[in-house]
Amino acid sequence: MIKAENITKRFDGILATDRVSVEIKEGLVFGMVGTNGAGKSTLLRMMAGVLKADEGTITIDDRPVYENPAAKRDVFYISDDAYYLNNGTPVDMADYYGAVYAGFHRKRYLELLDQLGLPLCRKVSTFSKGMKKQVSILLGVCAGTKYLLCDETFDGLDPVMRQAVKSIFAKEITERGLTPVLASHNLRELEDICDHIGLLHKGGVLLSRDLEEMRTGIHKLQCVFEDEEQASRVLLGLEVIAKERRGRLQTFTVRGVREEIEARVAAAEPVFFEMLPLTLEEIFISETEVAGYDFKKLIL
Amino acid sequence: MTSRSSFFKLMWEDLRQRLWTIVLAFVVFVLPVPIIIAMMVTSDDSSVRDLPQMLQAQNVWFVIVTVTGALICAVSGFGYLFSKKKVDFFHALPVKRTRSFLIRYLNGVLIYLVPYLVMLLVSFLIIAVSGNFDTEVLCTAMQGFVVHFLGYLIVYTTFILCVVAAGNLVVFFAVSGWCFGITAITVYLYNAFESAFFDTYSYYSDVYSRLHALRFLSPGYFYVNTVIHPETSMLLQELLCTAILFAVALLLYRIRPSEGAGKAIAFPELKPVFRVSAVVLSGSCIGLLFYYMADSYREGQLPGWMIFGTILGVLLGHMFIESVYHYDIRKCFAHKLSMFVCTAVSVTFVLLMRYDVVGYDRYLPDRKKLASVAIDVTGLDGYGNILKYVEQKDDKGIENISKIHEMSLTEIETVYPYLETLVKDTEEYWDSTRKVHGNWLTVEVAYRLKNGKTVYRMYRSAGLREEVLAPVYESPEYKQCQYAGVYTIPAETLQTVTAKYAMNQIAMRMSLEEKEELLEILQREVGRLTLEEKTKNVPVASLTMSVVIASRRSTVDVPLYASYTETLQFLEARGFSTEKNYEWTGDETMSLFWNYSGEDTNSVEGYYSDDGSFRMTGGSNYDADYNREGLEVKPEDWQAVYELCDWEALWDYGYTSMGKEYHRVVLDIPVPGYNSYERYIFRLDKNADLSFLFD
Repeated sequence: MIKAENITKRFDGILATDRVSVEIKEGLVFGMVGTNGAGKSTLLRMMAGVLKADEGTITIDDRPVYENPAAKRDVFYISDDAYYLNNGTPVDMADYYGAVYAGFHRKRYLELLDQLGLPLCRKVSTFSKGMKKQVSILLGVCAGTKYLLCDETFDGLDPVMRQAVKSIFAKEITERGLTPVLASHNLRELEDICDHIGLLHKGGVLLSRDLEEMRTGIHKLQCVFEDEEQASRVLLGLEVIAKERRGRLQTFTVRGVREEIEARVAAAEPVFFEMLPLTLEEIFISETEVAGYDFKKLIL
Repeated sequence: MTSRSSFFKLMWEDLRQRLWTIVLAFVVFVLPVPIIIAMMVTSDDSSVRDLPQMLQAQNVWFVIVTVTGALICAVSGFGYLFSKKKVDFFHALPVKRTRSFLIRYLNGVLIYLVPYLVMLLVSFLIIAVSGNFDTEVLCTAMQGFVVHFLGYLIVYTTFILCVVAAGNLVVFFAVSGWCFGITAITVYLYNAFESAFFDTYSYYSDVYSRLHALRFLSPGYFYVNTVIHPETSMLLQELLCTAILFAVALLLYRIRPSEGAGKAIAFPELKPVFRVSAVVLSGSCIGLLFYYMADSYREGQLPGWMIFGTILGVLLGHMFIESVYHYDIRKCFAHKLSMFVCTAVSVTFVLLMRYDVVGYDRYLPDRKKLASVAIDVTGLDGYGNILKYVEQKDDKGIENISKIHEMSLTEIETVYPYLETLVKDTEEYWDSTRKVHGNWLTVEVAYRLKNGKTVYRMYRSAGLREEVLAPVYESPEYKQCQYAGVYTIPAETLQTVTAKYAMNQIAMRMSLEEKEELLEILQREVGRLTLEEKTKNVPVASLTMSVVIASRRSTVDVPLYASYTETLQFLEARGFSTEKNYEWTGDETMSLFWNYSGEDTNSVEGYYSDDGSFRMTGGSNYDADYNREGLEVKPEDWQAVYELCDWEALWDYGYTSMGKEYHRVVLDIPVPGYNSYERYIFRLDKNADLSFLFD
């Protein structure tokens, strides 16, 4: 588990992260979202042991990560603007990482390069942005580390490649319990891949929730009632966190167990009612509004 | 994977990244030197004799390669610290920074070391195949290797320290300039202030001794010094300094914040160090410049332009540094408090120097603190240098040595009254409206303190001050330094002894016993020479001792005074005459110099031939110059003038008339059978009756 406790980091007096605490459990895909300057990259760089926190501690499986090769051997960091060795080819990169990471799986790396159609012996500097990202992801996946920290890694990948990477992640998660930590400013990019989402804003963690938990605990309810009295009767006892009305059609965002809500509404015999799935964006809108923030201003 | 194999794997991977530096090192080392050596061994004998010079420490090519190589290797190994992208890449790896440092450091050393050794090997092979390999070549090359390798280590480590401290390449060059130059610049500037403001400043207060004292703050000094003088003690100190720099560089590398990449200085704590030192230096330097431009012409007035220049220098320096620190000209006045403090410090410093608040000119160390003193009364015994026989490790011969560095007067009680007089006289000299009144002499003094420090001063003396100078002059230590040639030349190295009394010259070859006897007599009589005789009388004759050591000929001149009776008797017994016995032939030519002050006595250049005669090498220009100054004497008066001349030895090396004025007569006598002449110079009493010249 990666555990950050009260992490504070300043750059020339500017607060980048402010007492951030977050736990990233093994075997999950952790998504870290936030606007530009929210502190995502800083937090990832601290988790990778690149930066030293001014205050607080970051541990990888209970070992401090900064200047601790034992802990860092379990972490692979893919920067948003990754460096590739001078005149280095994908094979050269593998050679280098092979000298550093004992568990680097060279054979699998070469296979994956081949599968993705990436040239083995061409200089990485001549690759397109997307191809470079693919090389980075493959290097990270094949390094054999428990944790893979990706900073805006999906930015620049086409949909086909995104799916390919997702399937590679899925396989690694299943086979050896890889824990990818994906930082992005785009929630939609993470929606279909993450298990857990942390929302960073102005250097702090606004919320950190399990996606499934969020999805099962919050619902969208569309109803048409005979009158207002019936509506009041139905809503009494439900935890409504947002509501919207268009003519007679009313839409509620309700927290609670799906079956219980359905039973309660059905018992009141409204003219019409339906339970709808919520998108991740809608869930976040609801959750952050509850916390007093306008989510649309936080995330695209 | 074992830790050790990981270390070497990473070394290998790092070397792969620095392939271009390896190729460059081989190109600059392995190609040029062996090729030139191959050319030399296939050339003539003189080139073969110069073979060791190619591989010696003083070969400038090695110095260039060493310094440039150190710079390139430091940047290629640690320059990643300037880039955020690269720092993220390398610092995210599970490698301890200490290990990363060692890997990069060692590779930088190998990139220099291996090509150097290969170059030496190839050179040795070429020399050996040509049949010229010997221990001299081997020893010279190995000495050169040790000097340059240790020099490389200290320069390379310093550059690494600068890379770690700086945040980008441009600032790295500035920081490197600071590291290598700050001590030298400070010493030179301080020297310039002393020279500008202190009346007793001596030009012997060279920057070298100060740089030597501050050598641990100036890494470049060690390399330059050991290239010129490859001494073991200095090489060991260089190694020690390198070890300290290495430890500091490693420590800074370990604690360097990764976010320092791309900034001006990686460590915010170091910013004031660079800023304050550079700004104060800039202020002082421009202040001094303004002093020379304006204030130096306004003696006795407030040095307003100097103060203005100092403040301007501080401002400009501060603005420049803050702009670089922030990459923003609008931030040039950041850290105003620091700017004000620097202004105050700089102005205080220049004023302290200007008004000699610390009492530089009044300096006279306590006699208990003095270990020895050296004195050089300018003109009394030559000008600064003496000739001495010196035996060194691999060389021996007559050396021209600075008197102030050589003399060691340890009888402090004898010399102290003279020093007190000098301090007093100097104060009076400069207080008397800064104009010379009377016969003021310049006296250089070196105080060697018991703490190992040497302090130089230049004083003014109102005349010779015989009452306090005589005990010093007549002390054995003074004589042994002043007449070091007489005291140190081994008798067996004397080849010819030429005694001269004007036109009477005789070159003598003596047996070893005679040479030993002559030297013994001379030492005794030189030791008895009093200051009064030295200054009140001119030498009656002179002796030129021709010495041949290791095929090198040197000559040592000794003036002979009337009191040297034993010496004169010794020489007369071997045919030397002090009788005036030249017969005028009428073929002579003459020049007369009116009221000649005598200070150019030594300016006649020439050499003594084996027969003892002096051959001019001054050339026609020399004559032309003199003729312009000379008084034209009609040829029919030449013999009459000659008859009035004293036959005295003006070839007394170091003799001066101490301000007295004479007429000077230059007589050229043709050499039969040669298209040349011999020149003799006589002194003509100023009171001699020369009225017939104007008839």
